[in-house]
Amino acid sequence: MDTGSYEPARRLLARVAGLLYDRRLTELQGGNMSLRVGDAVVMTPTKASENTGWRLEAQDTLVQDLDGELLIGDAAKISREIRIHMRLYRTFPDVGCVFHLHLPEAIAAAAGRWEPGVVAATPDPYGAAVVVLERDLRAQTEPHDARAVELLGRVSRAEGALAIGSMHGTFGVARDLPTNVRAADVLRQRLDLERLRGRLKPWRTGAEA
Amino acid sequence: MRSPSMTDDRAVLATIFGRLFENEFATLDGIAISCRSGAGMDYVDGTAGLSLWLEDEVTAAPLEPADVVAHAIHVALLAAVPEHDAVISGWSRHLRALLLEDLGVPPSTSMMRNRGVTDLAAHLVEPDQLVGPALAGTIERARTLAESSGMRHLLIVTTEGLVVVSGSPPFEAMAHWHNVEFAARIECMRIEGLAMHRLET
Repeated sequence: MDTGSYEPARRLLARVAGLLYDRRLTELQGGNMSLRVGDAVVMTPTKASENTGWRLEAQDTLVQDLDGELLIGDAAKISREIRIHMRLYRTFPDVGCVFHLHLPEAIAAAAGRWEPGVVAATPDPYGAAVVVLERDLRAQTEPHDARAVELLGRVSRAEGALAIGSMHGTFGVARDLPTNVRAADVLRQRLDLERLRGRLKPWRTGAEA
Repeated sequence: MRSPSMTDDRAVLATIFGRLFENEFATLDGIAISCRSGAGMDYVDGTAGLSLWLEDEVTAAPLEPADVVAHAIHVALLAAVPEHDAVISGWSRHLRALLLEDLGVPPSTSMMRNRGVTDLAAHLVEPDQLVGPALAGTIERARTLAESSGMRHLLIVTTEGLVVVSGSPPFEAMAHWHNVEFAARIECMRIEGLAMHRLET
């Protein structure tokens, strides 16, 4: 594949990385995103958040094939999280986009009321399937990644699916990039709505009097 | 910069989507935007709106509306109100929270009152009034209400918090749509502020 053919995907990923931060779906010390293009994966570089504040240009992104060979970019800039991205692409042929986001609403829910395992096997009620990893699984370890893949394999990925690591973040998978943005955004909106309702609940009609 | 291949009508859809999405007025969960065009109607909803706004050349944009109910509402409104050029529909999440907690609709802001919306409750309909044979009657009642209130736009709000606006030109319709969510945000903040005040005193 001509390296120029990756340019639309590189531009799109660079722009969306900034959008995900602007939309409060991640923060400034972590997160990484990737997009499948044929037999290769376009990915954000390591420390994109700290080094650029998520203001990426297309040329900042890297391209690696599914066998791990770097096609475009500097090998020193490959994120260590890319291992789980590649594992997800290899395991699930239907997955075209992977986001690792530090999504506070999801981290809080997984640290609090949600128990490890499958929270929602279908897009109802959170807009995407949701699974939670066990709290003793450390990120960037084989047991963590294996459990994320196993749980994501047990749920519907039709509208996207998110695995939430304890006090870490989400690993979201979807067939394409817009669906993956939607999965994270709708999950956040619905968790936000639940918290808003909780704050309003004591003030139902009549309670204000 | 919009791509040269994007028509002006599609660019308007993309801009409206972006302005509502960036400021968190719109969510990807339910937003639909349409504009009258030479071909009839340009329409996007949900993630197709995101793709259009991003000028996404990678994802195969869906040709069919993802939300067939919203699409039918848009088609019916533009057919029933020839003087209107745009329809915007989507969830107002703060209004949804208020309605789900039986806190009623928010008071109209001056921006709403100046545009004929003095009582949002008058615009409320049950969700089933926006589907099937009931839709035409709902639009007719909204039109009558708009005429009697001096409104330049039509406003329909479901008891679950879905807001539908038709108007003209398109950016004015966008402003009318966002007015409802804006009023609901203020009402939620008012209630939360009152609660905090009572806890402190």
